[in-house]
Amino acid sequence: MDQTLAHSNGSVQTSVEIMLPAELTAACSNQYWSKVLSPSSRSVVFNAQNVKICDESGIALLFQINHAGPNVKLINIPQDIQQVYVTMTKNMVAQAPAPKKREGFVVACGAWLNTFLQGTKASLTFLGESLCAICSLFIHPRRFRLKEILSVSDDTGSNAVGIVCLIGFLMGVIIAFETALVAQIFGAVIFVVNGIGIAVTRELGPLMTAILFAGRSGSAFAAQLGTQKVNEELNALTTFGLDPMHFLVVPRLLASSAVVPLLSVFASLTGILGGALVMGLYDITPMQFYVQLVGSMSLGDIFFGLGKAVIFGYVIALIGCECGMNTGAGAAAVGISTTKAVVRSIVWIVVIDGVAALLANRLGI
Amino acid sequence: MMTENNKKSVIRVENLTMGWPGKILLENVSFDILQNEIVFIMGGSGCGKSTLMKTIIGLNPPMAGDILIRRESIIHSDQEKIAEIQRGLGIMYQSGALFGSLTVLENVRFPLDQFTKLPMPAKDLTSQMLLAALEMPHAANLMPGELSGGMIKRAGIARALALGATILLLDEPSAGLDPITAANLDETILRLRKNLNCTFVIVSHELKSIFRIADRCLMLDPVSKSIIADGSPEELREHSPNPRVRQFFNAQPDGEE
Repeated sequence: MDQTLAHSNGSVQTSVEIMLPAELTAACSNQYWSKVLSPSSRSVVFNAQNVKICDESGIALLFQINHAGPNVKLINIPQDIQQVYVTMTKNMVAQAPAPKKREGFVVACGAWLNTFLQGTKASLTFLGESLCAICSLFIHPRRFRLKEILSVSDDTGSNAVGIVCLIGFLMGVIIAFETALVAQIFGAVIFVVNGIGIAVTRELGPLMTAILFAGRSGSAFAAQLGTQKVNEELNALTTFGLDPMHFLVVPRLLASSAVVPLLSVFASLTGILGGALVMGLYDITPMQFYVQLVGSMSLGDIFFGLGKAVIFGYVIALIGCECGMNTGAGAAAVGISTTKAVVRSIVWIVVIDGVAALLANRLGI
Repeated sequence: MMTENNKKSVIRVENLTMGWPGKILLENVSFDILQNEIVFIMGGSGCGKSTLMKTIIGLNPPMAGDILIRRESIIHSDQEKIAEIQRGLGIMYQSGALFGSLTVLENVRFPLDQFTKLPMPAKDLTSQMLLAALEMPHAANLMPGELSGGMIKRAGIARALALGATILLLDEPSAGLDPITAANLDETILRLRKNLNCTFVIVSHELKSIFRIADRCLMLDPVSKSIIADGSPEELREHSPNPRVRQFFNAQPDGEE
């Protein structure tokens, strides 16, 4: 209802009285919130005499009315509601949500660089520690955990053979088809075999295997160690006098360094097989394919690919374990670590592959 | 249902059998929980206390029987109705179950965000008020990982209250808390019961809390698969006909009576 109040100074001001409903709950208080929150030049009086049921959001509304300013008043609060109101609001502290920090461009760049350098330093330290731990196995061979290494190899290697072979085979088929189309124009289809052999054994076999391994096993390492960190299992190991580096990380590093080259052999062989099948469509017999392949490749190509695969395996396991062991608190942190492990692994695989290609070119490997 | 105390039954468990094939935890059990009561469900480890709580809130389908929340079945209703009944319950899990990626304020605000159309300042103020009522007004912008055990439990209760639930089910609220924090939590429960007319079902075997705030205790027995005690803690400690119950309430080891 609208009322006109005559003030002592002679001015006339319109006042609106709003009756609050019997049930002041989250379901039905929306309209009253909008009246309290929207600034008005008129004074508003909220009458609570009918309120019988008032949930937490209702009490919050009464609190907001009481603190909305001189133009807004709350009257006739029932005694029982008043008691709840006092109890619920006595510890209220006006606390705004944490303001989001707005940083300048230079400060943001500096902060990013600082984080990057700190992360690089931590990663290099972790790499150094892992190499020391592996070297110490020669001094303390009892620390060599063959059973754990075989178990990790089984999980990450044997179970991945099928998918690696499938990807390798399709890769060989695709390369053969794409290159044969162009080579056919120049009557040089037989040289496609050279391309398949070199590309698959030197580059694509190890690279595709490594990317698959990063997604399949690097992420698993991060998730396993991250969950163990969250559950304080790493602390338990440390207090038993067992170094998590020796106990958890080294077996994964050694297993991965062995498994990725082996998987890459499977990928390369099935890639060549796929290429040979496609070459059959271009009237290249298996014998011609074999002779051309052996003649175009050297042992250096094979060992170059295998060497890269060993490094890929080590780096993927290292990044997965590092991300896992640096997991923060809570379930979300495990997800973040897993994502970070995969992304970092793939970036480093490509970087290492690029550096290796450059070195091979310079050294004539 | 109206009782002799003229209080309504807010939770009715009818002929409940729960467990899983090969392992029955409770068989043909019935009881009522009345409005404004603080009821403790207790018993030895592995007797099915938490499973009973999960059954009451509809997360664990029973093998037989029914559970009525304010006269509506949480077992035999359709999914939509069950979700509506569940929204009327405030539940605090043993670990607090706060969402790790949200701040404490956002955790408490979460049910309001999902199920109300209140403007953001209203939701923020309601959440802030609940945190203040649970004596943690300064924790609003902290992440759950930064809270102590007691604060996590209180934030869990604040979130359970956010939608105005008047039936609260708390799983081990004072487990692992220091005596002062546990006593403060008990005081909070009494205050919420008095001011908001809440009913509490608490799964716990913390005897200090039980004697401090319980109106009634239900003791589960894994051997007889039934409730072997139902009454006030003082009454059960002194006068229960079952020696196992007296032993439990007097915290005596086996072989003493």
